[in-house]
Amino acid sequence: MKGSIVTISCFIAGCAAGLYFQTGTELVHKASLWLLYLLMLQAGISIGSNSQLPQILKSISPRLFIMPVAIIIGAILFSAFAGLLLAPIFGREVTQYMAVGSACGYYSLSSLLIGNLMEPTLGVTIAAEVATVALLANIFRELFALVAAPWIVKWFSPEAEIAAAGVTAVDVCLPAIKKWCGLDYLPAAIVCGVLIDIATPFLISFFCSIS
Amino acid sequence: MIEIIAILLAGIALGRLLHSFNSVKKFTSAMTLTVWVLIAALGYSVGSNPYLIEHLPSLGCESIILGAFATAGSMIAVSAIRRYLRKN
Repeated sequence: MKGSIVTISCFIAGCAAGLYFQTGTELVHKASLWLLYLLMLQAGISIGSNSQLPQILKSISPRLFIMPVAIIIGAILFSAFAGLLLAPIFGREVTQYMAVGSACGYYSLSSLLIGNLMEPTLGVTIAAEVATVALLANIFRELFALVAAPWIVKWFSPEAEIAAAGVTAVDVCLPAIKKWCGLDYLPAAIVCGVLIDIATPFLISFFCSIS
Repeated sequence: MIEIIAILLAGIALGRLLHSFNSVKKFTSAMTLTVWVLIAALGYSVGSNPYLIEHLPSLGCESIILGAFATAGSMIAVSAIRRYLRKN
């Protein structure tokens, strides 16, 4: 929760700086690209050095992948449905919404990847628009999974809470999952979070390439 | 796109090779700082664009609808296979 607040604060601070100091656009743009490469390197090292990864990979069975695959496919499919409704209104493509939806709560990486990958084909403004939508949509997803956890578990199921959390099931939402779903669901939450964490950069890049 | 995937894969391989070193943990914990700087840069590109500032409320509405659909999609998909998950 604190991390989300700091992230939103950084976004607002950046907006304020952009409103009052508009001369640094080119420099910020170039620095952003190199920082994105650094972030991808850090993300890759973080995945590769994850101590739980070998254990997860050793116990690979089709059953292990069912839940994270269902979470991702459900998000992408329903993002496409949302895209069919929203695309005519906002003048976008359905694949752009699928790129946002495939993030499954990974608001930081999705917004940064989308902003940079869509810029060459769509231009700075539209890329920044879709990146902002990615940031806000996935923040809303995380906050919903966090705040509505007791009701999701009560009215739906513990599995639905893990699904709502998406990639955040392994970190931000893990305490809520432990409290409202129970200790039995922690392994499923961690596996889902880690596997979705690995998959989303590739999925976002794929949907950006076909947008 | 290809360079992004290549750097990610190289990072995964590097992380696997160097996972026992403490400095790897320090390097990856700096990821949060990198994210915050990049998010601020995203905010800057939004703030310096009058068109985006003007359309921020509509972007917010669009985001809520899309976030709701994506979350619902994941929840529905998992609920559909829940019986199979619990049986096993």
